[in-house]
Amino acid sequence: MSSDIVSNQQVNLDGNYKVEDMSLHSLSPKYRSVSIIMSLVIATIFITILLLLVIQPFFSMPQGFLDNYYIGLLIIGFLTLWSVLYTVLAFPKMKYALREFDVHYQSGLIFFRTVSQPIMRIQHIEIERGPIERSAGLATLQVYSAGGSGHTFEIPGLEYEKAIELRQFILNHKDVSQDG
Amino acid sequence: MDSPKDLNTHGSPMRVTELQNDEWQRLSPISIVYFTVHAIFNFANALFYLIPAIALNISKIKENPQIALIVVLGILLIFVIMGALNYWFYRFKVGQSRIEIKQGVFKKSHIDLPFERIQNVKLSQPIYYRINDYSCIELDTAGSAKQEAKIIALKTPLAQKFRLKILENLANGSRDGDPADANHVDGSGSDEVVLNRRSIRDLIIHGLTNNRIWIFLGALAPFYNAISEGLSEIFVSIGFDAQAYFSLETQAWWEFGLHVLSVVMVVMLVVVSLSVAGAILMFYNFTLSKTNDRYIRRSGLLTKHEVSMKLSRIQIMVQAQDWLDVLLGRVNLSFEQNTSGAVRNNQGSEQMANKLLVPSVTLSESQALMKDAMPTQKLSEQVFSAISKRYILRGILFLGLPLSGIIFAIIYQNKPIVALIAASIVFALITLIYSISWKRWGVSYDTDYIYVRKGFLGVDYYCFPIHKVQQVQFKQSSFMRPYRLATLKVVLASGVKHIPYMPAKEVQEIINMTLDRLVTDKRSWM
Repeated sequence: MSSDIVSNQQVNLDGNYKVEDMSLHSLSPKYRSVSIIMSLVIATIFITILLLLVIQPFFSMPQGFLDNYYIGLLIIGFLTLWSVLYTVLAFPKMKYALREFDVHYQSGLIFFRTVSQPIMRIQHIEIERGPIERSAGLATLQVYSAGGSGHTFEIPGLEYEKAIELRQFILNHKDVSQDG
Repeated sequence: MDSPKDLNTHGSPMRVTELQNDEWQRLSPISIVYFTVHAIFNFANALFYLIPAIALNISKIKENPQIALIVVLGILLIFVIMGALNYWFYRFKVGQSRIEIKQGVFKKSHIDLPFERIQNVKLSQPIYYRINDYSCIELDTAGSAKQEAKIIALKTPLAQKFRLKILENLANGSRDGDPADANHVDGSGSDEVVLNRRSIRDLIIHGLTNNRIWIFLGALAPFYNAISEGLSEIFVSIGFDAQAYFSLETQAWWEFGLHVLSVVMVVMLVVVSLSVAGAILMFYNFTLSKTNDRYIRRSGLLTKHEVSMKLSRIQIMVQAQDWLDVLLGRVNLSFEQNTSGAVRNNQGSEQMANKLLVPSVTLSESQALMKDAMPTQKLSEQVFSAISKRYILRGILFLGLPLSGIIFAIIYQNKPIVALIAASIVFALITLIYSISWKRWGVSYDTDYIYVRKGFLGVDYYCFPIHKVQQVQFKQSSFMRPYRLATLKVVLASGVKHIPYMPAKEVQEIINMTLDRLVTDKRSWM
C-alpha cells in the first residue's frame, strides 16, 4: 500500500453522477422478438420430438409413456407461455447506461439487479453473436474483469453497430490502456 | 561479486547469473528421489482401485510371500527406473528473461515461460531434500494452470536467490537481467523481517479449533479399506463384540446411552488428536516474514513450504473465528489475492497460492498484522450497522415454514402430536439460526475501506480497500422492494462479497462512492 495522497476531486459527469438517477437506454426491440422466437423454436423442437416418439411405427414405446405424454406437452406449453410472458414483461426492465468511467446494465422482473462495471477494471471485451442474433443484426457485448468469468459484465440485445461503438469507446478509454 | 554472504550457502558458490547461462542444464541427480516418490504417490492413488483385486488374491500372496516380495521389489525398481528416466529427460534453460523446461518420458512437454508472465514463486522442500539442502521451485503463471512450471531440484540458497531475482524482475518491470541487477538482488534477501511465529502450543490450539483432519484424510485415501479391515481385526483380537455392545435388548437404555457416549468420545478424541497432528504437520515452525514489498510464509514439518505474496496483490483480509476460537480468543487471519491464475489442486485451501493464512493468532497480533498489511484501515474501530430484520423473516417464510410444513405433513398420518412437536422444533431451530446470523451481519465503511462482519456461531470480519473493487451490483427482489431493501454485491479479484437486506439507500450510497472513487483513484488492483 502506498501512502501517497491521491487527489479525490469529484468529477461531474454531465450532471447525473448517481447510479440511480442515470438516464438509461433500452435494448433493441428486436431483441424481444428474437427472445420470443427462440422460446417458440425450442418449444416446437421438443413438441416435435415428443409427438414423433408417439406416432412413429418403428419400435413400441412403454404404455406408461403413451398414456401420459400429454402431461409432457402441457409442461412444455406452460414453460413456453411463461418464458414468452416473462420476456414481454421483463424486456422494459432491461436497460443499459454508459458514463464517462463506467458501464451499467440493469435487468430482472422479480430479481432486479443493476451491475456496474468500472471501465478501468476491464481486461478484455468480446462481441458475441449467435446465428439468430446475426440474422436480426443484434449482438451481445461481453466485458471481462479480474473478477472471474462468473462475473462477466454482459449487455445482450444491442444493435450490432451500437455494440461496436460501445466496444470502441471502451477500447479508446484512457483507463483501459493501464494495467488496472 | 564474491561477497562474504556467499559463505553461508553451504559450499555452493553458484550464482543466479551463472544459472542464467542460456544453456540446457540437467538437475542434480537427487531429483531422481523426487521423481521416484512422485511416481509412487501417483501409483498409490491408482492403487485405490486395485484394492479389490489384491484382496481377492490375498490368500495366494500369503502362500508365496517370497514371490510377493520379489514383485514388490520389482515394482519399486520400476519406479526408480521411471524416476531415473524422468531425471534423464528433464532439461531446463534459464535465459535473461525467460525459462524453458523440457520434460517427460513418453509424453514430452516443452514449457517456455517469460519471467514477466510469472505470478508467484513458491519454494518447497520435501523431507528427503533436507539432507543435501535442495529445494523445488514452483512457478505460477497468470494464465492457464497447464503452463505451471517446476524446477525440481536446486540448492536452497540458489533457489532463494533465483526466486528473489524473478520477483525483483517483476517488481521493476525490467526485463534486462544485467549482473549488477542480480548483485543487488542477492543483497536484498537480508532485509527480511519476521512478523509472526507460531509455537507448538499455538498449533495445538489451531488443531483443536479448526478441523485439520483433512490433511490426513487426503493422504490416507488410498488406504481406507486396509485401515477399516485392520480395525475390525483388532476388535476381534481384543474380544470386543460390537453387536453386543450396542444391543438394546441385552442392556438398559442408560447403559446403551453410556456406550454410545463413550464411543462418541473416543471418536472425538481420535479426530481431535489427528486434527492437532495435521495442524502441526502443516504449520510446524511457521514464520510470516516481510521483505520490502511482500509477505513470505514458511511452514511444514515434513515438506517445508514457502509461499510468498506481494503486498500490493492482497485484495481482502479475512479475520475468521469459529465458536471455539471466540472462547479462546484466537483468530485465523488470511490475506487473499486474485484467484484467477492460482493453481487449484487438491492439497486443500491453505496451500492454494491465492491465500496466505496465519493460523490461530491472538486478536492483538491479528490487529497488528492487519495494520501492517493495510496501514490505513480501521477495522477495530468500526461500528457496524445491522441489516434489516426482514432477513430473519425471509428465512422463516422461505425455509422455516415450508420445511416444518413438510415434516408435519409426513408425520401427521401416524402421530399428530409428534408431528406438531417435530414441526415446531424445526421451525424454532430455523428461526433461531436466522436470528443468530442476522445478529452477526454487519457492514461499515469509511473513505478507503469497506468492512463486513458475518458468521453464525463464530464471527468473521472482512476488510477490503475500495479502490480494488472490480464490479459492484445492486440487487433487489420483489420481496425487498416494498421495504426499500437491497443486497450489495461486490466483486473483487479474490472473490465475491454479498451483504443482504441492507437499506437500498445505503447500497446506492456505497455503489456511488465506489464508482466515484475509481474515477479519481487510478491505482492498480494488482
